Formats: sequence, C-alpha cells, structure tokens
Amino acid sequence: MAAPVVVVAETIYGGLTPASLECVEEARDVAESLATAVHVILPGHQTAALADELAAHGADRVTVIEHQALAQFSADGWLAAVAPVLKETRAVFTLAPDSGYGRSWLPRLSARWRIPLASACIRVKVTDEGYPEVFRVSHDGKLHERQIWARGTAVMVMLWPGVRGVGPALPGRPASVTVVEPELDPATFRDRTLRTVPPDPHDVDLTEAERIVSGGLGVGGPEGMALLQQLADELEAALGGTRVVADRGWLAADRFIGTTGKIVAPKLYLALGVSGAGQHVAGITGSETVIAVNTDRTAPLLKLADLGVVGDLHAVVPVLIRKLRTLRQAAQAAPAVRPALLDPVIRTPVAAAAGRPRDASAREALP
Amino acid sequence: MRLAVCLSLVPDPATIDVDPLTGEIDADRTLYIMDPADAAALELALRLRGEGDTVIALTVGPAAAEPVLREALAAGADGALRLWDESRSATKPAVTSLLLATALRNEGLPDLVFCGWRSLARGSGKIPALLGEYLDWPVVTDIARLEIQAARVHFHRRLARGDRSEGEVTMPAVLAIAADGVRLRYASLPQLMQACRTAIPMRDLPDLGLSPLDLSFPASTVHAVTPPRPRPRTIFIPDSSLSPHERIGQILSAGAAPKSNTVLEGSPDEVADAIIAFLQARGFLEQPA
Repeated sequence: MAAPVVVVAETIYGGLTPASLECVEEARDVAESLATAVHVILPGHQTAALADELAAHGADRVTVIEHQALAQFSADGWLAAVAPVLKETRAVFTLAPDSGYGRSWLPRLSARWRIPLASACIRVKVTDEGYPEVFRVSHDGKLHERQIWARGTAVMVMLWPGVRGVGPALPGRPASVTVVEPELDPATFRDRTLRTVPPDPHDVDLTEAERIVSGGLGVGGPEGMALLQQLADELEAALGGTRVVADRGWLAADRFIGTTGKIVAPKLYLALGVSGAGQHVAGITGSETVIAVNTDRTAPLLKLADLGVVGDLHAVVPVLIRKLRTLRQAAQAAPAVRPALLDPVIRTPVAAAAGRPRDASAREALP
Repeated sequence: MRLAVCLSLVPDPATIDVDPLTGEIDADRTLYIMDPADAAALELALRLRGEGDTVIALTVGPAAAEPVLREALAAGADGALRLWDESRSATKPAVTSLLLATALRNEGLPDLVFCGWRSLARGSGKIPALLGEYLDWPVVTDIARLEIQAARVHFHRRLARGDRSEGEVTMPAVLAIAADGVRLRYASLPQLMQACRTAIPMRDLPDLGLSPLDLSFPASTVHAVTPPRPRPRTIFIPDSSLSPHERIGQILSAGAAPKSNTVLEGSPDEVADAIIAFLQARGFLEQPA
C-alpha cells in the first residue's frame, strides 16, 4: 500500500469537532486521487467509540491514542503522544484542523522534521502531474494563494474550519481500529488545559453566537432592551441590535449587527422591532432560522423571516418570557436522564436543560 | 519580569486592492499598520508590566518596518530591536521565528514572549509555535485572557463557536494572543515625539551569529495568487428514494428547507404560543414530554 493520507482528529466535549470531519473528508478525496488509504490518528481518553464516526466519513484506518493524560489538551502531551505514531505512518499528506490546538503543536513537528506546513488552507489536492498542491487564504481573506511542492514531497496541511463543510455520513463503512497506549508522564507537560467552558451568551462575540435576540428602534428605549435581555437569557441567546439602537446608547457599541457592525450567522435569529433595512439585513443573511416581530405588516424583515409576527413586542415579549419560564420549570421538575459526561465540563443548569444539539450528538456517540 | 513582544507591520486589509486578472496587490494604494493581533499582545504585555518589569518590542523587517517599533515605544515599551537579513526581500515564518529566537537568546532570554495569534498579511499563524520550538519553550495559542500566578500563566483559550478552555502553562513560555476587544493605548504627543527621535538598534545575520545556511528551509513555490473565489461547500446529496421530480426540487433548492415565511397575527398569547411551538419544532426548545 502506498503511503497514506493522515488526519489528526480533535475532540470537544467527548465528540469529534466538525473541523476534524472536514479534514477526514478532504483526506478521502486526496487519498482517492492517489489510490491510497486514509489513516486517522485520534488522541484522547476514552475516545475509541468515535472510530465508527470517523469511518463513516471516510477513514480506512483509525489509530486511537489512549491515555488518561490526554483527556484534556496539552501541546506538550500531544507532541509526546502523536509524534511517534505520526512518524511511523510515513504520511504523504498530514491534515489537521487549523485550530488553536493544532497551531500550538503541529508547526513544531514541521520544523523538527523539516516538512513544509501550509496553514489556513481551503483546499488540498494532487495535480494531474502528481504534485502536492494547496489553496490557502491570506491577507484577511482578500487573496487566495496556490502553493505547490516538488513531486512526492510530504506536506502538512492545516485546513480552515467551515469552508469544506461536512457531507453525509455513510454508516457501516469498515475501518481497522488500533488502540495504542503510550507511556506518558503528565508531570512533564509544561502546559495543560484545566477545563472546557461553553460560551456565556452575555459576552460571547456575536459572530460566534449560535442564538441571537436582536432589537431595533421598536424597542423604544433602555427598558425595552432590558426586556429583550430577559428573553435572551431565557433562550440562552446573545443580545444584539441594529445600528440605530447602538447609536442611541441602548446597546453596547460592539454589539450592533449590519454592514458597518457585526456580520452574524447564528442558528436562530430573533428580531424584535427590527424593520429590516438593507444595511441590517446584509449582516444577518447567514442566519439559519429567522423570527421577526414587528407592528408594521409591511416591514421587509417579516417577508424574509421563517416566522413573522405582526404585533407589538412590548405585548408579546412579556407573555413569551412568562411561557418560557413555565416551560423551563416544568422541565426542571421532571429531570431528563442524561449520560454522565466524560469531560469535566462546567455546565450551567439552563444549558443542560436547553440541550444544545451539538452536545446531544456528542453524547450519543459515547458508549 | 522581562516581557518581549513580537510585532509586525502588515498591509491594512481595508486598503488592499487586488487586480482581478493578475491577483497582485496594488502597492501604491496599500497602507501599512501594526498588526491588530500584535497590538493586542503589546497592550496586554504593557498592562502586565509591574514595578521593575520591562517590555521589549521586536520586529523582523526592513527599515520601512521601523514605524511599528516607534509606535510601540510611544505606547510605552522600554526598548525596541529590529532584525533583518539585508539579502532578502521577504521572510518565511521559519526564518522570522529563527531570527527572533536567536535575537532573544543573544539579548538575554525574557520570561514571556507575546505574539499575535495570526497576522493580517500571509497569516500562517505558525510563528508562535516555531518560536517555541527554537527556544524549546511551551507554547499556548489563541489566548483570550491571561493572568500571572507565581511562575505560571493561567489563561483562557478561544475555541471554535465561542467555546473557551481554561488552562495553565509554566514560565518561560510563548503566548499567542487572540484578544479581539483589546486595543493598543493611545500615546501622548510628547511620547510620540520622543519615539520619533529614538534611534532603533538593528541586528543583521553577522550580529546574530547566523550564517545564511541556517536560514535555508525546504522551498515551496507560490504558484499563483488570485482574488478569492469561494469554494463550493459539500452540503447535500438528494435522497435517492424520492421521485425524480422531488429530487430535482431538492437539487434546485440546494437542500435548504424552503423559507416557510409564515406571517401571523393575533393576541399576544396566541402569537407567543406560536413562537414557542415554532422553536420546539425547529429543535431550539425541548419538546414537552
């Protein structure tokens, strides 16, 4: 068998990161053009059950590096654990997500082994003549570079998350799984992660928020924004708004959405008293689900929303908050049965009750 | 405590104008600024500086890169040092970090080295880790917040989609800062005037005791530079169990569920119920048992 295409996968909250699955699928495409195999290295603690998911996205071989000291990320730990396994694979391509974790250890191996490393890549391929080739972004996304190496050069690639997207899983694809248990001494790790914390909706950057409650001129004043803040807390959402609201001082200046403010792409965007001027709508086009409440039935945002409500937010929101509270109390009275978490993750009770979909899938993958 | 900050002068993305045919940047229109991530690193270093501590600013670049050091001096850095190899027109991350590591060794190793997490120029994001490798120090990337506790640095690290992780690292260490909200402090006019008059020391290869051979790294070729062309995302494969007509519909909509665009009117009680039912149907709220 020819030298494989290797992926080093990452986990969060006991599940694979979407960026890791993107790498596996990109590796699948490269491996097919080279007629070779995809070999995934998965360092962690009690992660062997994730091998099936890796196989379903294109892995042919999975090497699980199992050690208690790898339960939380440590750059020194990853270097000590992954380097020997990675070296033995004699990879022709090594792919890893371009994440903060990856950037703290993979470049060190590239310097040690004198293997070129391209980061911020959006595409990896082999040219028809057999040269390794990558496309990467530079200058804050203003330029794309095509980089190429001599035929047969082993190359390390860090793939920019979210560009490729994750395709459908093919359950039942077979992969050979090996578990290695290296000798590691966590006392020699100079850096360690103590815990992983989900975002706090109050201070998460709006561009990273999964849910946003946003207010427009219709909120009428600081009291209206305080009402929206209550609603945002009930929905575990971040609070944003339009430029007019920020200009009047009802909202922090770094939390307005639109062409001159933040460009957001949440899963849920709840707009209250926002008419939907072009400058604002341009900042929310990436939103998956939009709900709009406005007194004006001709407001443009009502036509763009998945659910539009013609009504006064000052009447609707208090009722909505009250109903959400009743629902939450009912849910808390009958606690849902949840499997124990492996990661020592801090979780607010509200977060657990709302059950973020990503966490739910991560838990399902566990034994 | 001795703190070192690595700075770079980068083209301001707002002034970058790309020729759509050649993919070249129009150099006449480009303005240069201190990299915002580096500026945040400098600001955090200045905030950490206590009585008797020093902050030294370093940059790798030609004489044209000096303004970035003067800006650092004006903001309050205690010293500045420029590193360059006159035989080059540009440096790769490996060369930049080797020059920085050698200079730091020669000038006396600091306790902490601050860098930006990724520059706005070619933006490899590799320099912190490479610097750590050449100094044999631990590296922490994407730091959003930090605090010094005895001989350790306690940090909050930025992960994807707003997640954070907390951790600690022993000193000395290389810290890559990704603190978005942090801006460099304004310099006073006297400080600015003073910084403009200061001569900035420079070290080239002989000063650093390096040979050009030390800086030869495996070559890659940048073959083409183009204006950005978005890559199609892998999102959707039509369900093969459906009829051809339905599959065509799915392909045309790219798998996205069509916007339902329901517009409701009613009493606050009714619409609140409708909103909650909608949130439950889309999985944003748990279904009632």
